[in-house]
Amino acid sequence: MNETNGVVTAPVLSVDGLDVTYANGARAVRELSLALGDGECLALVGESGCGKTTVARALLGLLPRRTRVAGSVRIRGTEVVGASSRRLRRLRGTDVAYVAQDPYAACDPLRTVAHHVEEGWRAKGQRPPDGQVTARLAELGIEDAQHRSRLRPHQWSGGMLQRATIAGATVHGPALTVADEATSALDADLSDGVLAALRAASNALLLVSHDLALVAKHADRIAVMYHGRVVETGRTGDVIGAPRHPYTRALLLAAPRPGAGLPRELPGTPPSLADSLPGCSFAPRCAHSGDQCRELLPLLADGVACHAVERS
Amino acid sequence: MTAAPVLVARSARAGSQPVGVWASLLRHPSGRAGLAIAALLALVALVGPWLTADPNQTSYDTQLAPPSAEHLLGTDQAGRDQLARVVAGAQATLGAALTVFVLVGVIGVVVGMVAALAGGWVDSVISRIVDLLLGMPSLVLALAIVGTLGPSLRNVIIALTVSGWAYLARLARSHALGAHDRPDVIAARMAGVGRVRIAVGHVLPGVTVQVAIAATMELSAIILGLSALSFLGLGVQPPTAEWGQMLAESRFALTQMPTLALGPGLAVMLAVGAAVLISEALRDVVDPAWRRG
Amino acid sequence: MTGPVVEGSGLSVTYGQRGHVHHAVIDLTVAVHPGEIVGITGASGCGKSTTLRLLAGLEQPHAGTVRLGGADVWAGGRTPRPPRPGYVMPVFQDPVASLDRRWPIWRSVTEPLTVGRPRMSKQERMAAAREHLARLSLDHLDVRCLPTQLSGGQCQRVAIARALVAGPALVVADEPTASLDVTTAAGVTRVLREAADQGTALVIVSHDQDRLSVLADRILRMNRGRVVAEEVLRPLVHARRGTDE
Repeated sequence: MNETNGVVTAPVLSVDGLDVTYANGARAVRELSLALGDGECLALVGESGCGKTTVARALLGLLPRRTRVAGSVRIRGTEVVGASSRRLRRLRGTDVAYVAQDPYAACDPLRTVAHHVEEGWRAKGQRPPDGQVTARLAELGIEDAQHRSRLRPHQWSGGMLQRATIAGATVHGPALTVADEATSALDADLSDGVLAALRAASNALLLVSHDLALVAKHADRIAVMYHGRVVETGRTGDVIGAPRHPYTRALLLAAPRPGAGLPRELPGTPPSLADSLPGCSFAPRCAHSGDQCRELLPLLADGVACHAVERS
Repeated sequence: MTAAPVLVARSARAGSQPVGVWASLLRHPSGRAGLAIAALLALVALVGPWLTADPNQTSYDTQLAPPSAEHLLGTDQAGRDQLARVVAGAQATLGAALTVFVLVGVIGVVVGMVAALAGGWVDSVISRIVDLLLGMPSLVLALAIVGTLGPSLRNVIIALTVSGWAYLARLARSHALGAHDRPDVIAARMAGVGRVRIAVGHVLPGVTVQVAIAATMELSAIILGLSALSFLGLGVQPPTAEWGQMLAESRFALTQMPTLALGPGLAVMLAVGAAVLISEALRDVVDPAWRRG
Repeated sequence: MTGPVVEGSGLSVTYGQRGHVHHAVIDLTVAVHPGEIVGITGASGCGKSTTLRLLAGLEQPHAGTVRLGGADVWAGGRTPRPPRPGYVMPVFQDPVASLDRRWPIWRSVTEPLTVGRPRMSKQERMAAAREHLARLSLDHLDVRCLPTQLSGGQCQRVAIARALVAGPALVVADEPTASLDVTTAAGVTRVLREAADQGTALVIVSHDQDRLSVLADRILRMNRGRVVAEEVLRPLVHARRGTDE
């Protein structure tokens, strides 16, 4: 797509002006743009109802019918918005993979774990190469994979089973892996291991999560979403170390830190996605908001969308 | 107070306003259609008899007349106006069906709740009776009861009630048992709220809604059962008009005047259709709307 | 009242039959004092939820005794006998499900107040609900709202208001912030801390160790039905109790 000097430098994922409105009028994603290169990991962070899951669904072409989608989502140069279901099917597995939240819900309890991993090949009409299932599982840190893969999902622990679903999703080495809250159904102390395995098994990785502190340990870049828009984005160290948007700061202050005092709450609730405020969506809850914030929508400039930051 | 306006925005959200069951039923397309048909039938049953001819006025000059301007649905073997009889039959048929509907609903909820609440041997005895009743084909059971009591509309109502409540009682019992471990019920119990108050305040409303849905689905079966029993001559006694019985009579003239079956047949179809539409809408409205808000 | 609010000694719970025995809780002893927050953490299946149910008097141990306010809860056989109704109150993980979805929140909040006083008028109850919600900084809420009209964090604070309204000695909370967003979880954390500061004892089960470490006075780590580590974070409980009297 972006051809410079004859070399194709198409990013793995480029989202441009994505806008998603559901049939019930909720505008869940608003003029959102993202880009993701090879080997990169971006964390899309926000509270429930900020539209982050809708972004993940849009990338996979999984939005319900009668949803209005504008803008463009390209994976390795292929447009996803408006693509036929046949084309989407061809993309899934080879170009884009999906890891679900709850591995037990994602697996058929009557089938062996090996069956679920093999599914990655069968979905493409191929036969799984001999020994590959065990090898893939072993790569993701599962001991005695040969024996264990013949067990059913409920005989596996959550963390291990999530690794197996990751193995199954990435058998074709997809360019992009989308993981929506891949560890929130697991015990907290297992999250890091699973995310590390996910990172290792993927090329480009989009982590959708509500847990800023958790993804900060694994992502290269972070994009913070509020009310359908990205309000701050940047390198993980910068966003965590020196957050600029008041909402990002509130998110960090609200997380409990050992040794610190009680976490600070952010009063109020986010506006409904069905509503559109004329100015900044965060203004009603923001301690720094001025008249400008209530009237004029701040645009993302230099990685942050905030009038207060512009003023200073 | 920065939180206040945000809160208003949230609770004013389209679709988040929990509206009553009636209002949501009116919004639901098939609910609206079902209620419209039901209202029409109710109007016919209540007002119709004043507008039509005497349904029992025999006239041996005009037996089995075809539909005409004077007799829109023709006349039956005794020369009675078929339209007037369909309208008059609405009261008998729908009145009896609704009586059975209310009786089975109330008995089902009360018996099911008592079984779930009392537990122990009370529950065992009730559950065995329910199993026994559910094991029998309900129409055969109803036939046996009317056969013993003698044919009359009242006995048909008794028969259909006896054969119909068991399923609803089982449903009510399982819903009431399921509520035992609901967080709001546990909290009430720990606060020291009495068992009966918990049952009435927390459990009964949900059970009633679930039973009402199931009973509405049964309403169509009740109407058909009523017609079936009348068809066999066990229901209302002549000359009272009743749809099932009218269908039965039209059978004898099927070759001479097939249009005679049209009136009562369509009427039964409309009533059953309305019941099915309303029950489907009720199920849609009560389940997801309450859960998701 | 100077003794522990709840005292479990030698508690064991065993599930299963026919040789396939699972020990959910093994020989567990714990005491919680007024104004103290005890956190219980551990991997899923370690027995922390069973322990919570035991201390709440919701489940009968197969061995050992649970004393609430000094008296054996299970002295009367199969029915728990707390010292008074509402002595222990619960807070659950799912905030929306923990309130009756058909009840406006004033009814849920004031339900414990109606025990022994069934003739409370609707006006009295609504006023009481407003007063108690204001203590949890929910004074802007319309008490006629249904739970589905509120956010998860608001529902959870309403549920906490219900737990506190009749002055319980002990509140047991099972993952009270696990299904909340981080910004609202912070508010719930503060409200729980304030309840303890006013003298209520709390037992909180959570997998969120960072949160427990800022909230709890003492953390019990469980593994396979046993307490494997006890960490005292704030040995100030007795001091605080001293200032209260």
